[in-house]
Amino acid sequence: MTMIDEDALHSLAMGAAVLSAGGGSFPYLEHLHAREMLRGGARVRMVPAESMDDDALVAMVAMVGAPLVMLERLVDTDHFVGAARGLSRYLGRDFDAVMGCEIGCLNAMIPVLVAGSLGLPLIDGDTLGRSFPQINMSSFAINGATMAPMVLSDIRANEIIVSRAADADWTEILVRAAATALGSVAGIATPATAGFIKRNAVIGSYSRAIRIGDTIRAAQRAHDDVVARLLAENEGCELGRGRISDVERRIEGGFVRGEATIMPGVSGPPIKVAFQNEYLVARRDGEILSTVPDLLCLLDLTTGEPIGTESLRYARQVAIVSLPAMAEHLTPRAIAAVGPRAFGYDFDHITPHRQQGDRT
Amino acid sequence: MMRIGLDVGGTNTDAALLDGTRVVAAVKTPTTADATTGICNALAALVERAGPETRSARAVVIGTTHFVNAVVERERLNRVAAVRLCLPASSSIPPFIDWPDDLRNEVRADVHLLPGGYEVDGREIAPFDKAAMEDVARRIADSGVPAAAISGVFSPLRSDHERAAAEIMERLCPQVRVSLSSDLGRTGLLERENVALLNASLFELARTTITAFRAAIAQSGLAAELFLTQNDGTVMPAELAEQAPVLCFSSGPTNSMRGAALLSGRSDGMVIDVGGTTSDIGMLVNGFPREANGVVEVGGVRTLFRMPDILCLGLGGGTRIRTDPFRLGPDSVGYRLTSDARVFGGRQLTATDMAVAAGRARIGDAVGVADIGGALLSAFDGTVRSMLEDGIESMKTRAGDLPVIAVGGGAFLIPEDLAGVSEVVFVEHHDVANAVGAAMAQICGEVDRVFTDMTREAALAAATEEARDRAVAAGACAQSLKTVDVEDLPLAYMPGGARRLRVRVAGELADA
Repeated sequence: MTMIDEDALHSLAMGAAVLSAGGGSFPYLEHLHAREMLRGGARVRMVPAESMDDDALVAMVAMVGAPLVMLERLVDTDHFVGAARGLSRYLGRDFDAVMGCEIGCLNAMIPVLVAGSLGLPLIDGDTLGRSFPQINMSSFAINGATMAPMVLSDIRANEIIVSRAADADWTEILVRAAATALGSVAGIATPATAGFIKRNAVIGSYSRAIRIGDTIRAAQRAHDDVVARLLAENEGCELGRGRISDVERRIEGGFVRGEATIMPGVSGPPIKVAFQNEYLVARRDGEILSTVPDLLCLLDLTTGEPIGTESLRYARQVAIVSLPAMAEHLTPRAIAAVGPRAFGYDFDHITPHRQQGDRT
Repeated sequence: MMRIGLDVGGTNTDAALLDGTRVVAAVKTPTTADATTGICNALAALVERAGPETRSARAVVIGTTHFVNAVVERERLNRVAAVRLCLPASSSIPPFIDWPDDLRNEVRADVHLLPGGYEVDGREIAPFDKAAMEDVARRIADSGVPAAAISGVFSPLRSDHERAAAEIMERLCPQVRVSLSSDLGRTGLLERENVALLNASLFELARTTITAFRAAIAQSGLAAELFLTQNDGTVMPAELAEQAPVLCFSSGPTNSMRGAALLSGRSDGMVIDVGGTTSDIGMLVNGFPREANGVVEVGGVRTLFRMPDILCLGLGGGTRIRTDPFRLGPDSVGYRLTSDARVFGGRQLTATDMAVAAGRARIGDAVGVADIGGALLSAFDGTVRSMLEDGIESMKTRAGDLPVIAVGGGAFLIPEDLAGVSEVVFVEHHDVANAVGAAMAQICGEVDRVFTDMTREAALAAATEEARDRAVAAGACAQSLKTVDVEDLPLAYMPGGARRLRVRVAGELADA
């Protein structure tokens, strides 16, 4: 068991921004809100899934919607606790613990807020190991779960329950439509037993985020090269660096999609990074350099901090970094769910990293 | 065309008279407690140096650190009421929440959260509550605060609610001056709101300061128009600056960098401006300071608006030196340099004294530093080198040597052979680079509106064309115009592929 104190919270927020693959920058507002909660006396215990009884009931929580919206609507604990409370009412059972659906960016902080507010332990794990834009890309869904029942809560008095779904693809379709109607942001909660979590979740992702955050913060304090330290400790590689010369964005079906163009510092063709909430594909001159499920990340060249797609701005200086995909995301079923074709591309996973199969 | 640039710093007020891009004359005078006297003195000195043709200058362009210093020093600020249009959203993190305590205590008046604001798709979060806003306006009037800041969720997308609230304020409490977040900042409610709050806290200071500037110009017998320089190296008329003092926050370093570009004839490189107390390091890209990435803290407050990326080091001509053991700064004798430094007969050992002792500068009387030994000089040299080399390295965006342009009154402190630097360029008039930069500040044109039924490329071209037309109408030379900022927000709630585009272009003042 680990207590999430202010220092761990800070590293968690930083590491979660890296694991978000562009889904968000440092979650300042959520971190601020969670820190105020800790200073107000709330205690958040982080426990391994292994420590829970198999039949313990866990509230899986997250924010569904566009991260950009959270920069304006700001985080509100009640909004997210509301989904867990609604689910508890619907099931007629109390929860034993809270776990996050997604370790990426602000979604890493929501479970901390909910666990702190409900006084429940937080399980060290999630269902993605990073960020993906859709519910049906979670390890639960890849392993056949429907993710229903799922409760959505709103800032107003609206509560929506998807009581049954044909499969996780339908849960995604229904929840996305409802979230868009609620202003492209909603709190969600879905139940899972600890036994199911042990078999199907990405275990230890909170610890990993805290470790990555510790690395970045230590490098910043020592004025070391953050990009180099991060790559060394995570077997990643740099695809290029330069100045953002154009950012195109459009809203499609509740997602912000678009493309950033980065002009290299000295000369040579630009690198284009396409995104749908997260970075998906990096290309140079039509040559595909790296695709999902590789973890693509844009780091600020001055501070070394990860940059979310919502903060891409003309003239920013960035390094484009690729970290290897997790083994869980390289199985044929996983590639079908989270590979380039799942995002509408007509090519397969292309990566600069050694594949797991390459290792002997 | 003749123009006068003035840089009003904490220590010195510098003035330069330019004819086109030629520096006709430049002077350096001490800043005085009241702004009018200091500027009158500087203008009088300029007239004395350059003759009566000074009075034919068409524009006086002033860069000032008055506003940012007030925030940093927590002085001369007025109280501000906050009105946020957001409910039922955005209430968990209220206005002023992450401000440093001392600044918050100085500025914060009542905070009002009201229904309103917009969703990302442009729908209302809740309808604007006219009656509730009227009630708030009356309470603000009764409280006697001189200023208010109004913010609203997604106001960069739609500012109707903010404007409706401002109209009610204008009607019910016209004596309270109002700052709107949508006029100043970008997407990011808390940071944009902070910009509006800081701006409103400077209203009284902005009014008295600009009145003083105008009085000084009139008293000096000039008929020139008054401009203030902005953070991005362009100018705005004084009437606008009075409404938006935050846009002048970083004009000091910006002007130095623009001046360094003109004086050196270079458009790219690192600029180091060594003043009396500090050195500012910034990167010059295409003749403009590189813009800061994202959030910039001002006086401990997170802001998100147009600011240059500047690194400030505690090294200036007046920086004090301790000898046993050796220590450089961080304090400075500041404006007392000419009385307290050893070379001026004083008792304090300063960085300027060390430079004179090392034979790097001829200032005052070297007899005062005859006792400074080699060991002390090499300790000083090593410390200065590592400070500057580390600073330059951290501002670089890629490996490789870069030229450094040395400006400011203390430019002689910069060694000529720094690691990571291809050459150190010293220029004439380096000590008044900021005033030269102010005089040379560019005219900008901006378009910020919704374009519909057009491809993105066509909309961008149309917006750029409009921005160019506006810049030319404001007096810019068409050939010199360059795009300095593009922002593009798609509006999903409107038909016809609508997008809000903001395009800014800037260029040199055209010869009349």
